[in-house]
Amino acid sequence: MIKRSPASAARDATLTATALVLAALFVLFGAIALVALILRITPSGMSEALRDPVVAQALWLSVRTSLLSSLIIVVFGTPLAALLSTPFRGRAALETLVMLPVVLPPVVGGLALLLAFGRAGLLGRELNFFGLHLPFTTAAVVIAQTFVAAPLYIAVAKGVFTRVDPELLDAASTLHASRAYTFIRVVLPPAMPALAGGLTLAWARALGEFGATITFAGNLPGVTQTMPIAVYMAAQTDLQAAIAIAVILMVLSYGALLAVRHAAGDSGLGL
Amino acid sequence: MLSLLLIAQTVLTVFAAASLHNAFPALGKQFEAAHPGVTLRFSFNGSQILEAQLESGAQADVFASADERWMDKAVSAGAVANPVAFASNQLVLVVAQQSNIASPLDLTKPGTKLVLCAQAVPCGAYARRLLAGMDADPAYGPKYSDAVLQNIVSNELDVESVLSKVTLGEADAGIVYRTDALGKTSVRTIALPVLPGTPIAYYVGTVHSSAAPSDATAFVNFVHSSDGQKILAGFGFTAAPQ
Repeated sequence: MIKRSPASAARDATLTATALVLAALFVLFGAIALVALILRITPSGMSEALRDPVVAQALWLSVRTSLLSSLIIVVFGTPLAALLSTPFRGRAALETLVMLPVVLPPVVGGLALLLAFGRAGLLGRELNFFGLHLPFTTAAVVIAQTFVAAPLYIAVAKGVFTRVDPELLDAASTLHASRAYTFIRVVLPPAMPALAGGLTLAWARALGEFGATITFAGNLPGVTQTMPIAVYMAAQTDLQAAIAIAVILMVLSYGALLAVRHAAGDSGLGL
Repeated sequence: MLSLLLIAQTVLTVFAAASLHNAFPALGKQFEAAHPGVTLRFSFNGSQILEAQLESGAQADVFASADERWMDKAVSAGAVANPVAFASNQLVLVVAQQSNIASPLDLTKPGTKLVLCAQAVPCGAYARRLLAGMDADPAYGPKYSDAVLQNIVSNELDVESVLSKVTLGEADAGIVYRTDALGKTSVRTIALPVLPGTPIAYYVGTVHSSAAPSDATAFVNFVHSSDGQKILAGFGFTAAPQ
């Protein structure tokens, strides 16, 4: 055991106290904003919002699109994360490219999608040939969400895959297991909780997506008007309705995030 | 340098409708020249957004709304005083260069991708009111607006977004102010009828909580002055409806 001087013990206590105060202030900062929102709900505003067909439509659209985006993110993101967890030339450049949508302002992301996949975009003619007109469709909502949210899952998944015990991989290779077999039977199972956490994070980001969606997909109830857009539209005319929808969105997300944490154990978000 | 130190600097914040974003800076430049020591700062956005910001206590000195509805709301909320109409505008149809839309009648064709401002946005409310009014004209027929509204693919948050969707060629047509389309070569402009009794009216007023009320009033007066009106006319605005 290392002997500690009283001075260093005192320094430790000060550090802990400082950390606690900073942490508490930060929690308070976020909590106050949420509480302010909840305090403004009136029962009539809430019940009106819940009965409003536009809200129900937006809620259902958001659930459908964000789940579909999450599915796409898992299918394409997992192999990409596995690839990024192994060293190769140009990995840093590729990884940075994959992560770029996180720092891109979502509106710019939406514009980029429009310029790429729009009718008059880079791939417009090819898409038109197959009868695909993406802007202003629900598919465009899913594309926008996937574009913006995928890096969150990929970053988590890559981190998990990188931390796999090399001895396990060595053992698998001495047993002449194929790389695919090793990945599926050795790497994946212990990574599951963290992957679920990363996916939940990406799903939540997809659910809250606004800027890329409105730019690429537009705003039409039932087709492209997701919950965040419905909140924004309502906030301009009827604040009470906007608050009600926002709270529904918040409760839904909080519940889902908590549920995943429980299902995945305490390591839940794996971050 | 010395004059900068001697003259107290006043910064006036002007909240103005998005469709004024070309005209107001020009107006401001002339106003600043005539009022040394006063600097103008503009915040352009949808009138409905600016109104919500004012109601939530945003600091501003002047509010210019693209319609009466949001000015009235700001006044009844106690945020803005002494509103007056200062300009008018017209709606036009903008279509993508390669589009084969030739008249407003073509908007009823199924599959036409039409973008409008959302109903909450002044340009959206004006557009819907105009379309509904056109139903009474036998040239369009009683079902005209229903058929056109069926073709809406997106309700945009401001007039600039409508224009950009058409400019990019993603939407076939959009309804914007004449002043927005003026001088734009990337889109074709098609005239829309002007219906009697439904004028577009821009309003300007002073914000109650202004720290420089006399300068704010001076700017509002300048907007009305013949100099101010001349600048607005240069950007395609017409005189306020009587």
